[in-house]
Formats: sequence, C-alpha cells, structure tokens
Amino acid sequence: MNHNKIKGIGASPGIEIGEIFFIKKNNISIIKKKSSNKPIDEINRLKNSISILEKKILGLKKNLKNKISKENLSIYDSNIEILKDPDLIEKTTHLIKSKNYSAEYSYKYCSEEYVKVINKIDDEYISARANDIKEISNELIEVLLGKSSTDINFSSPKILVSEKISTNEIASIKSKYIKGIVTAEGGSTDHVSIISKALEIPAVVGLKSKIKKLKNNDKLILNGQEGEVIYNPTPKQLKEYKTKKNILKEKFKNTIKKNKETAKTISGQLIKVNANIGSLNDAKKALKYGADGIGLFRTEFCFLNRQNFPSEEEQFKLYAKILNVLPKKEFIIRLSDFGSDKKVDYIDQPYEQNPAMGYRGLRLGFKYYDKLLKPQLRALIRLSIDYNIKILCPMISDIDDLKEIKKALINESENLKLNKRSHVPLGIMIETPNVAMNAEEFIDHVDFFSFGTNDLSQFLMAADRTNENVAKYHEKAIPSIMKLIENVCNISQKKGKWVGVCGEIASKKELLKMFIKVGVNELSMSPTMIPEIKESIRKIKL
Amino acid sequence: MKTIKIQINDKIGFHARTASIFSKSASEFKSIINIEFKDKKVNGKSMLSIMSLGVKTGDSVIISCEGEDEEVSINHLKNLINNNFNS
Repeated sequence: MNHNKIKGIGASPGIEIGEIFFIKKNNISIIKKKSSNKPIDEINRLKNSISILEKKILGLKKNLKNKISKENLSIYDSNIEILKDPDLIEKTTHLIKSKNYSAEYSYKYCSEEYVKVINKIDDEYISARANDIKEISNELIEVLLGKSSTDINFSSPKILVSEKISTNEIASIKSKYIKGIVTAEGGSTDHVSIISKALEIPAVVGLKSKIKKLKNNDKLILNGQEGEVIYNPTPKQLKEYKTKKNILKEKFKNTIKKNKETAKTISGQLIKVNANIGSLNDAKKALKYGADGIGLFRTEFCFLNRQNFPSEEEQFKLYAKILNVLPKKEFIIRLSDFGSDKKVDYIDQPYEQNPAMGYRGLRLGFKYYDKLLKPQLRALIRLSIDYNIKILCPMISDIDDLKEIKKALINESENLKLNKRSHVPLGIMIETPNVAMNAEEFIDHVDFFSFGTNDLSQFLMAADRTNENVAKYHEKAIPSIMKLIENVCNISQKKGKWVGVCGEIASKKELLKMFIKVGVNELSMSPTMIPEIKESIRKIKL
Repeated sequence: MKTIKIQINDKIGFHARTASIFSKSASEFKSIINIEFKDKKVNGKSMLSIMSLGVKTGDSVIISCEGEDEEVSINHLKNLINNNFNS
C-alpha cells in the first residue's frame, strides 16, 4: 500500500490526473430561531426565496439539456419538487405562523424532520434522497440569508474536491472544466454519482476524514475504476497512471464503437445480434449495448400488472415510445403470449391441468380476439408505416392457426383503411416439435422463423421449465435442438427465408460456431450479453 | 370518496422517481388524494410524504380520492401504477 493513496468508493469510472480545486464550504451560518418580522412577511420572504432558487435550478437544468439523458435531467425536476413540496411548505408556514420562528429556521427544521424519517427507511435509494433534501434546504437557506452560493470560478480544468458537492453545483460549472470529482461524503447511488456518470466525469466519493490530506492546487491522480486517489504522486506513479489512462481511453473508445458495429466472423459472415426486451428500459439497454435490432419484444410484459385489457390506443402509444428508442432498427414484435406461467387478472382462464400445453399464446389470442388480438394487430399495423416492424406469432403448432392469424392480419389491415400501407413481415416462433420437424408445411406461409428454445426443450424433454426438480434435463436437449435448427435452416435457405434463435441458448458462447455453421442468421439475447457475443463472433473462423 | 387497494410493482417501489411521478399526477386533480400504508396516511400530492412511507416493490397501498373529480383521478392514478409509472 502506498503511503499517498486513499481508498474511497468509485462512483464514476475513468482515470484523471490534475490539480485540485478545493471547494471550501461556508459553515452553515448561524440561523436565528425567532423572527423579528411579522409572520406574514416571513412567509412572503420564504415564498420569494423558493421562487428565486427554482429559477436558478431551471437555469442549471437548461445548461445540461443536451449533455445528459432526459431521465438524468429529471434529477433537477426532483430537486425543484423537493423545494416546492406542498407538505414541506405547509409545515414550514405553520411553524412560522404559530411560533413566529424565522423562515430559515422553520424550513430547516421541517426538512430535517423528513430527513430523519427517510433515513430510517432501510432502502439505499430512498435514504440517498435524504441528502438531496439536505442539499436543497441548505441552498434555500443561503438564498434566504442573501448569500450567493459558493462561488466556484476557474477557467482551466481541475479536479473538484469537497466535503460534499451538490448536483446543482456540478451543473453550475462548465463540465469541460471539471476533470474529476472527489468528495468526503456520498455513495455510489446518490444523484451526484449519477450525474457525474452521465457527464462522464470520473469520480471517487466517500473519502471520509482522509479528504483533509488533499490541498488546493496539489497534484492528484483520481482512479474511478478502483475508487481511489493518489495525492502528491511520485514521478513513477504519474508515469504509470498516464499509461493506464491512455489504455483505458483507447479501450473505451473501441468498445463503444465496436458494440455498435455489426458482428462478422473472420471469414466475413455476418450474423445479426439482436436484443430481447420487454420494457422501455430494456430498449434503452439494447441501444446502450449496441444491439443491431430487437429480436424479441415480449409485448405481454408491458401489460402484466393491471386489471383491464390494454386498448389499441394505449398499445400504440406505448409501442411508439419504445420504438423511438431505436427508431431506425428492425423490431421483431411478438404478439401477446399470455397463459402458461404468465397469467393476468383480466383474462378469465379456466383451470388447466397442464397450462403450458393449454390455452396460451395465440390460442388465447383467438379466444379473446376482439379484446386481445385485434387491438394489438391494429396498433402494430398502424406503426408499421413508420417503423421497421416484423410480427412474431407465439405458440403455433398447427398450420390452421398460422393461416388464421395471417387472415386476421390482412383483415385488420383492410379495415384500417390507411392511406399508406406496408407489408408487415410475419414469422412464427418455433417452440413445438411439430413445427421444428415439419417446417416444410409452414415455410410458404411465413417470412421468417425464430426458435424459442426454452419452450422447445420443455416439450422435447418432457420436462416442465418451471419445475426446478427437472431443470437438469434442459441442458441435454441441446443436441436435438441443434439438429432441428439445422433442419429448419436447410428448408428456409432453399426458399430464401431466414432463421433466428431467441431463447436462452442464443447467448451460449460455445454454441456460436455451430449456429453459424448450420446457417442461423440472427441471434437475440439479453442486451447486456451483446458486446461479449459480438466480440466472440468476430473471433470465429469457420 | 373513491378508494382502491393496489400493489406497487416498479422495481424499487415508491422511491424518488416514482413518488415524483405520482405526486405530479395527483397534483393535477382537484380532489384530496391520500395514500395509506401501514397505518400511515399521507398527502398523495407531496413527494416527500410519499417517500417517507417507505413503500417497497410488491407492497400494497390504499389510495383514496375525494372531491369533484374523484372518479377520474382514481382511475388515472390506478392506470399510472398499473403501467409501472410509464404515463
């Protein structure tokens, strides 16, 4: 252990070397408890100060508008919301009125009451918010006292070091001047960490009292990867970390760039690596991890916890929101796959001995056509005009079911009488042995196939996928599944159609070579797996 | 007065983001809106009060709306929670 190294918590990754800018906090000024003003004047002073601070925060938010995501920007909305919370203001004004206390004292007292309660909640996310309340309260008190908040002014990039730093303070400095952030307080889930990550500013927090060793203008190495800082580094340390920093920078640039690129084998064979999603958040992850498109959008996941069927409009709006995360990409959207282990309150299902082999997927869709399948088909047809949508049908074992859904798609498309119309490609999940073994019968009616290997292995091995006692049998299904995939690929290639795999096994590295060999065109998996799988594909030589 | 019992399914429960979305939505209505959880009843228009309840994912709360737009408001808030706060 080096004598000049201090361990903290890595809040935002990256390595930086620079000079310290130590932000000294004014010790919270002495606040008078009793006010010499009339309560009504004190209340007006409170209201004015709240509106001054609100304007200031809105200005800060505007500064960051194009730099961080909407979701992260909302931290500033939440700051304003704390500031203007009706209960907090109500309690504060009550205290001013009833006891003739000063606005500063009353606001501080009431916000501390909330901090106490919230700190008691055993939840990291909520207790981190207690800090936000403290921050806002301190800032409001500064406004009330007529103090300008800490002046942080410098014109060359520095590493900010402080006991604590607020999200508002970070926003008030041009981010190009912040090389890094080091604080004594804080944890990895607080808002400062989130904002520094979003702005890609390396940060180490939670240095505690050891922060006192850091002095203004001293040289500092900040290592966000390991969550440590090195003060007054030796020439040897400087050299070592400069190299580390450069390697990291290169690596980072390459992964981001490479993630987004398509994955080709050494011999030049392209294989699409798509994401499985079930929510808006998943779609954002798919974008982040560089998915080529969405290979399986499990729409039913959007509508599990509710009491009524989702309407056409509701589905249209929600899908549009999700499609807009990756507006130019291919979206393979699976029609609702309720039933089996995904039951919902609003679909009345009779008791079934074997629900995995009962009314599920499209079988249920046909049974509740007007409420379930029709609104979804209509929403998707309407969206297909502006987005690259392909429809995927769950649980098809019989050619008649396939013909029926095709008919329904054509009917709804005609009923909609849209000015513009586009052909919506239709594919089916291969999750029953019948389709896998007799794909010839289905091929002329579909545009593509997608293997759902979780269900397929359940039926091949006669082993319930929700029953832990028989979980070991699923591994053993892989050789049979591979044979079936090969069979379907052969049939599809002859007809110029494509085959994808979207089950659990799509992200098994040891199977990649085999998938490509037998002619699989697309793999779809959990977004976080994508970078690794793309990397592996690029190393494959057939 | 309209009341419902409903389960919170957002993956972290009623934390800052969801409490904020809820209180903002509630503030759009004229009705008095309360949330009740574990014998505590708070103003549904106050983010801080909602957070202080400590509602976690899977917990059920009782929402009540009273006023001229109680019917609309309760349905709106119910849908908001059912859609996991994606309004």
